[in-house]
Amino acid sequence: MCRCILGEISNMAAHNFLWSLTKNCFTFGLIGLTVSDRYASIVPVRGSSMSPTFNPTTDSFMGSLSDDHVLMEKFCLQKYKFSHGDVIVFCSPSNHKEKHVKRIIGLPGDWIGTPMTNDVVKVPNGHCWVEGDNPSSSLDSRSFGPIPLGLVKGRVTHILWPPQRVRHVERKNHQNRHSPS
Amino acid sequence: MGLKPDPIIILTLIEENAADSVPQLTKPERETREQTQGKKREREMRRWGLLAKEALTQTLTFARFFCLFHVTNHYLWSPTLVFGPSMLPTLNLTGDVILAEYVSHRVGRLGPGDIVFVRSPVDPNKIVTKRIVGVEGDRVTYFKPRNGDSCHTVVVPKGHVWIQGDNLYASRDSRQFGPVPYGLIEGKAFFRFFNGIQRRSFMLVKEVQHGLHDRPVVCGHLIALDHWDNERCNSY
Repeated sequence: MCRCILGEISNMAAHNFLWSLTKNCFTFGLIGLTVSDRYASIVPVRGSSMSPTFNPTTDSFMGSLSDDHVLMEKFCLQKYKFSHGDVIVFCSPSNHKEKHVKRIIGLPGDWIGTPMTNDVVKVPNGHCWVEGDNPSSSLDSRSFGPIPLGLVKGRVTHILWPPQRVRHVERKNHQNRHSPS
Repeated sequence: MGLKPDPIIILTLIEENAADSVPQLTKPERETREQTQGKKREREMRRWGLLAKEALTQTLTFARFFCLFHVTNHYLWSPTLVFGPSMLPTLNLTGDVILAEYVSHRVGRLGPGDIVFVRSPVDPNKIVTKRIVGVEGDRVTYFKPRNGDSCHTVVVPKGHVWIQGDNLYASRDSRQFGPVPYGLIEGKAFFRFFNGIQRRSFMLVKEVQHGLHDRPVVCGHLIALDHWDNERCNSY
């Protein structure tokens, strides 16, 4: 009978432990999700469309481990206020499940000159013109046009991984590409 | 000639006696005093510790509440106030409280006929309520009531949807700004909170939701417009 009681007590203790563990996991999961939705989150950058800013070397040996991981902040989404040269993360207009990282070249009202077609495009209200830093291998506004600002999911501020490349991501202004209205 | 005791020796003797007697008198007292001081310090530390633990628990509870609130409002459902003339007669001009749900658009179960909340492509700070008329690959025919009689046909590109308000005369929608990317959709309206005065329109909302999956429209004036539209376009 003593053994029975001991068994029950240990069972209850294990049950309690599991329950509190589950509760803690749930709490921290919720907190993590909220923080990553409202404030900041860490995103891996794949591809070389933003070389040399991100992924300057195409290292296919290591694969995704050598990708740059960046800090993306969401405070800019309160008012959707961006500046020229900001690096942003946005949902692709042709596939909402994909996210792309590019730099803002033009804001609403700017005139963008496309050297390929010798065309001048005015960025409509509520849209922005994005381009990658590596124009030869970048799928950006030169192919799919200006994107609505509502698709932007965050702004990249720092590189966090790999450790030797930890730095602040600078705003690069391309004064020769855009002219304000 | 008596022996005068040395004053220094006397003083030393007195001091020794005094030294001997003081610890004897207050040794237990000193011990208890030390003990009470130690206990007081312990109690204070414990009180601070308890306070800190209490503060941490309260903060954690508040954080848990806040995060639950955020997750429910962004991933499950939330009541939303909608107003404006662009969805008459389905939704009121002056305001309706609608339960918006955020599950359908994440799993991709949105189709023509759904009333959705979309972040306006013209102003990202505004969220508009419109109905999905066509999804990617659909051919949509529309006309602008104030722009003459021409009707246009467009094929909705990949990853986009065509949205229109139910009140075609007072709605800025895809006819003005083109098809919108699917990523701009924020949620779907699926329930209007029952308002005794608008009982009829409440039924209309539910009917329209169900009926729209097999047939385009239910509202009277929109049926008329639809027929008119088709006739005109077929004659070209």
